[in-house]
Amino acid sequence: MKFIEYTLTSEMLCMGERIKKAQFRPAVITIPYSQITGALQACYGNGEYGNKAKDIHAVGYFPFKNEQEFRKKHIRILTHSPRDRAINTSILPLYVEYLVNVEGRVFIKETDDIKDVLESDKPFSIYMGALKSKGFGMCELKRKGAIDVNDSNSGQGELNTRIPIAKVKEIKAKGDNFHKKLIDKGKATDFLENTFGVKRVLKAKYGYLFEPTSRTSGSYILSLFEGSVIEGPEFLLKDKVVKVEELEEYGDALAGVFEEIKVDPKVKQVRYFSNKFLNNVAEGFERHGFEATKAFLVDKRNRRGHYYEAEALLSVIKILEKNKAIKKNRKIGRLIIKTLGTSTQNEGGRKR
Amino acid sequence: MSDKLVPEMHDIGKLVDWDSIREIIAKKLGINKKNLKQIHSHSFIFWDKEKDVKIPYLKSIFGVDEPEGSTWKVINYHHDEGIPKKLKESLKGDEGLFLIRLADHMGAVVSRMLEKKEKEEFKKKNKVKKEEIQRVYVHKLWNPDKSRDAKIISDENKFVELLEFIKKYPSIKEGDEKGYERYFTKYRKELRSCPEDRSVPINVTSLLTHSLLVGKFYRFFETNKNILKTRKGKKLATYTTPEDAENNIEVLLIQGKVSFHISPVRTRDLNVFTELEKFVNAMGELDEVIFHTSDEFLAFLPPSTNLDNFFDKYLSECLWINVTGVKSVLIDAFPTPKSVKLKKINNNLINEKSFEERDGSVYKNLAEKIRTYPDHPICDLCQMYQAIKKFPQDYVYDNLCEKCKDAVKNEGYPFPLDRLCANCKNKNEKWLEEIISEDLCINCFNLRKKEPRTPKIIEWSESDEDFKVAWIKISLDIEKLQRTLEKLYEAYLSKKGSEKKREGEIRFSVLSEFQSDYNEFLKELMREDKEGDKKELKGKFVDEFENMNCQWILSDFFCIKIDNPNRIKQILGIYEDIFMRHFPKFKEHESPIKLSISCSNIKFAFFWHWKFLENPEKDINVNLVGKGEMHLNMKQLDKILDLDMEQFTSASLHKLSRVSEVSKSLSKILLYDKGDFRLYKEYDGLRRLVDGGIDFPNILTYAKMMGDKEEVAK
Repeated sequence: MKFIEYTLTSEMLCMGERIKKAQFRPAVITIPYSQITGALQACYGNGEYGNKAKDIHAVGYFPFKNEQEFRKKHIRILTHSPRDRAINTSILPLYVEYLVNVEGRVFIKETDDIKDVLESDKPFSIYMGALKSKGFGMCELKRKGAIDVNDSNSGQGELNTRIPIAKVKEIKAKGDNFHKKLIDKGKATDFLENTFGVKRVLKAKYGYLFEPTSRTSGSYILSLFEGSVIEGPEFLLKDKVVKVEELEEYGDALAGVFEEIKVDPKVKQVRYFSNKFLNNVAEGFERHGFEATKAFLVDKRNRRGHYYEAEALLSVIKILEKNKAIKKNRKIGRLIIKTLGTSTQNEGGRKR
Repeated sequence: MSDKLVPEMHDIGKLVDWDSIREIIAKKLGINKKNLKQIHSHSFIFWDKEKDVKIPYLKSIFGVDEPEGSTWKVINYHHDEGIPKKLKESLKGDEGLFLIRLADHMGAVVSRMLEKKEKEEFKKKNKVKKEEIQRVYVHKLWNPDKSRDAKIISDENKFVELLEFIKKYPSIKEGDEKGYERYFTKYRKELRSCPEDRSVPINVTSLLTHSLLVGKFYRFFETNKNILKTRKGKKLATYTTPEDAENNIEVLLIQGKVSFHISPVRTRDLNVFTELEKFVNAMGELDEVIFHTSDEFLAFLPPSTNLDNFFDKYLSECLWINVTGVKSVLIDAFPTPKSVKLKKINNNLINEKSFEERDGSVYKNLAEKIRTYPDHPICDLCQMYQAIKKFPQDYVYDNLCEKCKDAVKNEGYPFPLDRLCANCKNKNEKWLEEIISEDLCINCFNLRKKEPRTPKIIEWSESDEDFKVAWIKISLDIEKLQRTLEKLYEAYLSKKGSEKKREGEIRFSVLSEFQSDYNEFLKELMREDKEGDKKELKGKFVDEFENMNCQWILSDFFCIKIDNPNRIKQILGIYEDIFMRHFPKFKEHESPIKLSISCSNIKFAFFWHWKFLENPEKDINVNLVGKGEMHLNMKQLDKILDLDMEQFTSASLHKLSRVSEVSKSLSKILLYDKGDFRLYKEYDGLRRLVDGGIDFPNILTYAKMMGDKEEVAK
């Protein structure tokens, strides 16, 4: 059983639960089987359903340490009022939670029907979720590697995604109460075992996922939701595959920047940073950007009085250029430059 | 006396000052006190050691015929160490005595094995003051100052009254009265103040708590004596000694957390809390359940129990239970499944072979597939059952009188108002004006049809006034409670000179003792007193905010209408005051009790509040929707409530907070940066707070909560 691992990035993604009171649509913070498989079927499927559909299976999740922090950082609320075309008026505002700037992991099962796509190293795009007509849902997938599911990379833990216990065709074939052994004894169904390598379900958190059976209808299938405890491949389990150090440090986007500045030899050479000079450079940096600031500093370097400061600041600019958060928002860089005197002082605030 | 065994009465003898009674007996019968042997320290039976006969003092001195029956037997002989040989033979094989002894072990503060050893050690090591020995009191680990001396019976008349009570108890029972109710009603004060064991440092639970627990355990063992077995199949009913049974009989210990599927969005959806309360109250009545909060419980069950079948009659479709469970022998099964698992990892189980993890979940009536139709998708609210009703259409139709139903049967929805009678029109006008349509399953639909649990919230949501509501939830983490009580118990032991043998020794009786104080704490905040059909709100929140602005939902969940978010400060102040009066020791350690407050306009969807309320991060959590969150521990709460907000400008707080969202390190540098001297001076007070561990987002949220000057620094 082989799965190909991808990183999935998206600037705006709307995957939600059913709308409550026709007004509120909360977001889902994992990548359910139904969403990603549906998106892949739309791109690489054959437009058929049930037995005739292409054999495509995938799951995914967003790795995070702390759910509350993830929500604060990546969930926004869109308020929009769908217009009734007949009367050309907006009725009620709709509050939709959506994800911004997320990076997730997707695992696509290698089957004959999708082998060609999976063998290529080229990144590809799919559209997933709701509000595609409003610009939501564009996802880029980049291949990371292949996972051969076996006992050595299986374990016990919390499921980090949502997977159905079976497909509609299997339920039809096996009849009512076929899921009894799963509920009573935790024995994985054939679909869970053969498609994903899940051996046992120790604690189930149930919900339902939609499987279309035609263009206009479908069924909701009993599914295992995130938080269920299973025995299965590690890529399905929380905290097993994505190492903690890979996760974005939500607490501090400038992790490492200050350390690097402090130990820079040119920065260490400077006994004293003039506040006036720092302010000038900081203002210029925010207004005109990296290159203009470098040019300004090169010029200052050639003049009396600011040689060492200019040299130090050129090193600092190079360090700042490597940081994503600063490149996106130069205000942060301005603050760092302005406070350079304080940040490079020893503890206790002694002047250098 | 009725012969039905009342296990709760087994320790009634502990209410008596036996030294005084012994004096009376010795004096009146002219017997040397040294020859007076009591069967055990709280038995009513005295034996003449010299003549080797029972002393019939009850009739001769107190004029009371000796009571008879199984309860009297249990009161006097449930400890067998001091029973004379003659008597022991006649009591051999008595099932009631055996089960009471076993239940007594399970409901004890500490393991009996350690108790004896420790008492001897303690006496050897310490020259305990005479007053200390004579003093009888319950030491509350979380509030030592609350310890009150016990009222024990030393007066002759009160002793006779007690004997008469036992003799006549309970000849007639009324209705659903439980066997112990009259006993507890009459002697509640004495039972609460008297410890289960007077020896310091084992005096940490009251006799009331212990008696209740023993009652539950007794009935559990009695009902399941032929079902509870050892690993090799030997039944509990065949055992005669509690120690053997404890070491071999297997039992299932589960911790259940009850949640609901539904995402409540209308005020009527809050009726789900009625279902939750019904379920938890039903659990509390079961003998199998020995501890419970408003959404969690600990229970003992026979290992062969099918959990789905067991909970089926109590669980409604909108609820489910997350179960953490272990199977083990009785002596290993305390106080929570997680702690038993930890003991297994650390090789601390007495009987490892019987250990088995039994985690799971309990749902009701889940279909493997829900076929959907255009008109009947899955339920919008719970997403667990098929939607077969439309709201409010079907709700309005069900509420119409027969005449109006007939009048509108061929009309589309919304029904024209002029077709309805005046009564139906009044009842349904607001629904007919709604353009929203929701697809609901029958369970969610029926929830909405029920009598609203929160009528005041419905009233507030229909009002045009501008105000906020503060949803207040108090959570109790059972695992943290156990860990904190362990630390407090260790500190108590070392203070009293005992050796540290107590890791993992917090047992059910201490948890139950805490539970009664916790319930008192919640009631002091807000409670709903019922007198017949009348309900009245009481408590400190009600005193402060007035009855009409308070809605009680559950014992630990309230909603208060406030005109300004700055009134949350008063909520925090009241909470802190009552918390410190009940649980001062929790401030020093990690508190297992968390307060969460979420504040917004009444129209804001409740399920978004609930996400915050059910996941408290720290001791105090405040969410101002759209403005920020605050997470503090109890010590920080003190400091922030004392904060003078006048010394800060909003602009400076905003600047720091926005920088701290990107980088905490940078925000700290800004705080110490002397580049802008005016700002540096302004941040002086902040530097002190930050050094005390309170960070900017918390301070900024607090500033916003206190209202006023909203200048956003850019």
